[in-house]
Parts: sequence; structure tokens; C-alpha cells
Amino acid sequence: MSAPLLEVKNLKTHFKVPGETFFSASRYVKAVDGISFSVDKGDTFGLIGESGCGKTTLGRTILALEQRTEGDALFEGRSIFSLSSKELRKMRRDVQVIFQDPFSSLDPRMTVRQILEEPFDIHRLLPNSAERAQEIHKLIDVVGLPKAHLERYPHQFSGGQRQRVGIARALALKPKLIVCDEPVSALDVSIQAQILNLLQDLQKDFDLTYLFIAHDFSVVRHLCNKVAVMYLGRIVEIAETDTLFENPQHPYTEALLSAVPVPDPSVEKKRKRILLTGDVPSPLNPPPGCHFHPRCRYAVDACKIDTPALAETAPGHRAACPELPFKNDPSAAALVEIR
Amino acid sequence: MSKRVLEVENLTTEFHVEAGIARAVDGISFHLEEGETLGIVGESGSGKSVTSLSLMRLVPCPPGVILPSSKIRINGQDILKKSAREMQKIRGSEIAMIFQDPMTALNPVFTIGSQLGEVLKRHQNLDNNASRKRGIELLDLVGIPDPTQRIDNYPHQLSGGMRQRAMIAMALSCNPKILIADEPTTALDVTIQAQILELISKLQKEIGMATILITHDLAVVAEVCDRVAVMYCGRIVEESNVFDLFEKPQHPYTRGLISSIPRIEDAGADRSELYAIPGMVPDIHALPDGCRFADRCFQVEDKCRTEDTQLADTGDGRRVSCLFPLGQGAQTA
Repeated sequence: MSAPLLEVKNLKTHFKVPGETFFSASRYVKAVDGISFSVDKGDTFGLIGESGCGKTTLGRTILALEQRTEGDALFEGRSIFSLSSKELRKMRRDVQVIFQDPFSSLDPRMTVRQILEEPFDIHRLLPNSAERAQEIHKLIDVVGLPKAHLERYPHQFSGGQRQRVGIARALALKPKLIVCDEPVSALDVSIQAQILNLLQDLQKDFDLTYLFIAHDFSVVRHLCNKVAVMYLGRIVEIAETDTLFENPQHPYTEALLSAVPVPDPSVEKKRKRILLTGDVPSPLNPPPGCHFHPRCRYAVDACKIDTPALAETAPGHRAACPELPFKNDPSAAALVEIR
Repeated sequence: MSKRVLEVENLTTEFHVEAGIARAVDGISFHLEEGETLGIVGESGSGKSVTSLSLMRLVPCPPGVILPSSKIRINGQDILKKSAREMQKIRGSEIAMIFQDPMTALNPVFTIGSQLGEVLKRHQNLDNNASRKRGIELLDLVGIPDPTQRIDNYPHQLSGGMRQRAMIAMALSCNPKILIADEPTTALDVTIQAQILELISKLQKEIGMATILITHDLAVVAEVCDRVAVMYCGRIVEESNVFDLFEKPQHPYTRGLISSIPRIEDAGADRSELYAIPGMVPDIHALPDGCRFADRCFQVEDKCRTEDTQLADTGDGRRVSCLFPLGQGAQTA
């Protein structure tokens, strides 16, 4: 087995926020708090969680857009935090990003052609203008936009088309890894399907690896082959997609899966669901022990004290819950709850 | 047959803007029965939010105009004929609305209690003490923990889910007969969405009000709605009970929408291509002649591009607006 393309080791990103009063000590938001995982070449690795769980910060830290606090992230075996600025620029050719909001991630004062030329300018590639024009025509074609659109400005496009421009820009330098930060969550369903299909086709054609950050379980299930579920800065469960969806081992995953509505009324109207009580706690002041214990229906006293580590429950399947409720109590797997 | 609490006939709402007249809602008709939940589904720009604002008579005017040929009857009374003062009485007590984004719908400089109290004082003539007491009861009803403390909070002190609960409390404060929920869970996380949907359907049963749920999320529709109207480019293209709509959609657009959702329950092993409706929604200022979906339809024929379609009955209380509605056979994509 070859080395993974991306390896994240105990990565921590903490943000300092001022104390409540002038004299009190400053506090920390532990947005990413000790995360480890690895992404192999050709994978589509899904990172899923609710808002505020740190998934976007994790993505940005891996792109070296945030300062890490501790830990390491290795791209092709080299730590991205020890690179010189020259080397970092070189790495950025290999690691690209597609942002969530196609409205704010494109410069409104640049035409599509200028947007697509910028990566070549920055990296001083293809100085020959004829070659460059040809490459840009190829790019715009690959993402399914007509060449005439190259002279247009972002505001002349719909959301789906803008996202296509964003994808073309990410592809320009032939990257190996693309971090997709909620690329379809701002789009309508029919457009979402078009973009998901495009991402899949591009992966095949260009041999891409995706780190796919999302909050929509059905999109992740459709696209990803591995998934990690995050809660308040930590990974609570990680497995192959089908395993995780069919046999969740962490109570949070179980509850999340049961909360996702299914577009089929005959299933949906009969389904029992686990309703989590309360909100996600503030990341400034997360509960001690297992962060999930105040909302967990299996919680015991030990959960309030010990921080559970990710432990293997089956080959390739790890969950951070020592209670392993589903193993100890087979009846618990049947969803007996409100409704 | 139960009572119709709301009847909408030929509702047309236009916006007179620089680029011309944009007809956001184009002659739609539907009704709502007592106690039922009607879903209005559509993508952005389909006119679903303008429909809900028209029902409340909250369309900004100018540039918005509800054409005089439109009729909106609540319990038999045409609200389009009411004066602004009469309308203020109807809003809140007959028909109430919750909005997508509770942060912008609540006033950031007043406490939850004073905003709730304003409604209660105006509509139910309660004094300060009584409205505060009723406010606490309402917050308790919608499941806000510690309501005696929370009533003095400002909106920014509440989480997204709690703000939406406060909005619901405000909408319910005068026991409306009709509740319009415009994308009530779109801004929320799935676990909070599940809580809010549960709350709405629980309260609906307790209070017995009829609900119109406006959403783009078909999965949410499948969960809570009894009947569904699908909108496209300002028109209703299909109306049906929720089971038939998902099982045997009759309009190609509905079928396209349903098949383009990735399914969480599918074994994703093959990760095959999703069905995607080609193209995109046409520009509202340059709508095509004939069927507005023609350019994106998989079974389009020449006739579709010239002949306008009408919403026609197809039996079982279903209506579809298509010259070649999909058959009753095994046609699920």
C-alpha cells in the first residue's frame, strides 16, 4: 500500500478570543481539536458535521490558510507547515479549493477569462498567450460553459454557472487534491445534481482526490467513499461510507442519520426518529468529557469525565464512544422513540 | 368534505421594474382545507415566496402589484378588498407567517418579550402584565427552556433554533387559522430542523390550524405535507396528494426534481450519475412561449413550444399542467 496523499496527524487549530472582562484571561475556541485521518489517492473523503463543528476550519488549516496550533498535516509525505513560502506556493498548484459561495468567491471586477488566467500568472506558467488561450478554452469546455461566456463578469451568471467557473479555476493548474467546501449547498436541487455529476466526471478524467466538506448526508452518501463525522472540533466516527451509513457506531451519527428526512412519503410518514434535545453547545465552553454527552441518550456518568478516543470497532471503522451502545444493547439499535 | 379555509383564484403578482414587468406569480389557483398541510415546492425564482407574501398582502408596493383579477378568500372573505387597517387585524389573528431567517425577521434592538408583547397588546388588548405572562406561556409551548429568563433576552442571545422557536411563538400568539411557513428550517442544521418540524406538526394538531409550508426541500415535504403544489416559473405545474406525487409524478419537471435528489437510503456502492435536469430556469423577463419547461423537458414535442398549457384535472384530486402528462404506469425514474 502506498503512502496516503494527505495525512493529518493530531491537528489542532485554536482561536484566541478576548476574556469576558478586560482583566480576565483570554479564552480559546478549539475549532479543530486533535484530528487525525488520511486520504488516499483517488478517494473522495467526506467531512460531515453541523455548523460550528470545525469542518471548514479544518479544511482551511489543511490549505495553510489558518495557523495550526499543534499537530501536522502531510501532503505527499511532507509537512505543509514546514514549507518555505516558495515551496508553499508550489504546493498550492497541487492542492486547490472550491468554495461554498460562488457569489463571494469570484472577483466581481474580473471577467471569467481573467479569473481563469490568474492562476497561470501567479505561477508563471504558459507565458505564450496562444497556448494559454487554448488551455482556457479547454477548461471552460470541460466544465460545460460556452466559450462566449469567457468575456462575461460573474454577476451575469446564475449560481450553478458561477460554481462551474469556480471549478474551472480550481482545475486550471491540474491539482492532485481539491478541497471542496460545501460546493453544492447554495444551489437548487436540479443544479446541485448537475454539479455533483460534473465533479464525478472530472474526478475520473483528471485523476483527482477530493476532500469533500458538507453538512448534507445524502450528498455525502452519493459522492464519497469514506466519511468522518465531526462534532465540536473532534472526529466522533470515521469509516467507509456504506459501513457508516448502514451501521453507525456513535450515538451522534445514529441521531443525525435518523434526523435526515427521506424524499419518500410512504417511508417518511411511518419512520421513527431520534430527536436530539437542545442545541450544539458553544465551542467556547464545550462540555467536559465526551462533548456529546448532554444530548446523548446512552450517556453514563463516566462520559462526563473521560474524553473518549477513537477506537476501532471493526476493520477500518473507528468511533469515539467507549459505551458502544449498539453492541451492549441490541434492542437499542431498533429506533424506539418519540412519534 | 372538510371546510376550505383559504381559496386562491387566479393570483397574479407583478413587479414593475426597470427591465420591464416581471410576473413573479402568474395566475395560480389553489385551496387549503381546515387542518391540512399544503406544501408549495419550487426552486429559487419559481415564485413561491412571492405567493406567500401575496397571501399576507405584504408584497412591497411599488414595485409589486397584485392584479385586481386575483382573489384570495380567507373563510369566504376576499382579503384583497380589505383596507390596510382591516388587513392589520387579519394578519396575526387569521393568517400568520414564519420566515426563513429568524435573525433578520426579529428586531435586534428589542427583547423577545417586547416583540411578543407588541403582538399580544395590539391584537388581544392585553396589558403589560398579562402579555408578559402569556408570552412566557407561549415560549414554554414552543419548547424554549427557562422561558422566564429567555423572555428578556435579545435575539442575538438565542441560537438559530431558539430564534425560530421564538418566531413560531410570535406567529401562534393570536391563534391564527392559517400558518404560512416560508422555508422555516432552511437556515438550520438537520438535528434542529427535525426538532422544529416536529414542533410545527405537534402544534398544528393541538391548535388545529391549516399550514402552508413553502420549501425547496422535497424530503421535508415528504415528511410533513398532506398535499403538494409544485411551482415552476410562477405557475403551478402539478398538484397532488403527497403519496401519489412521489410515486407517480405526472409532470416531467416533478419527476426530474425527484430523481435529481441523492438518496441517503440507497446503497451508494455504484455511485452512478444522478439524473440532472438539463439547462436552467429561464429568465423571468424572457419567458418562452408555450410550456415554460419545454427547453429542459426530456419528452418535449413541437406542440409544447407553441401551445400554452393549463392546469387540468387528472382525477383523484390531482392536477397537472402538461400536454403529455406522464402515464399512470411504472414510470418512476
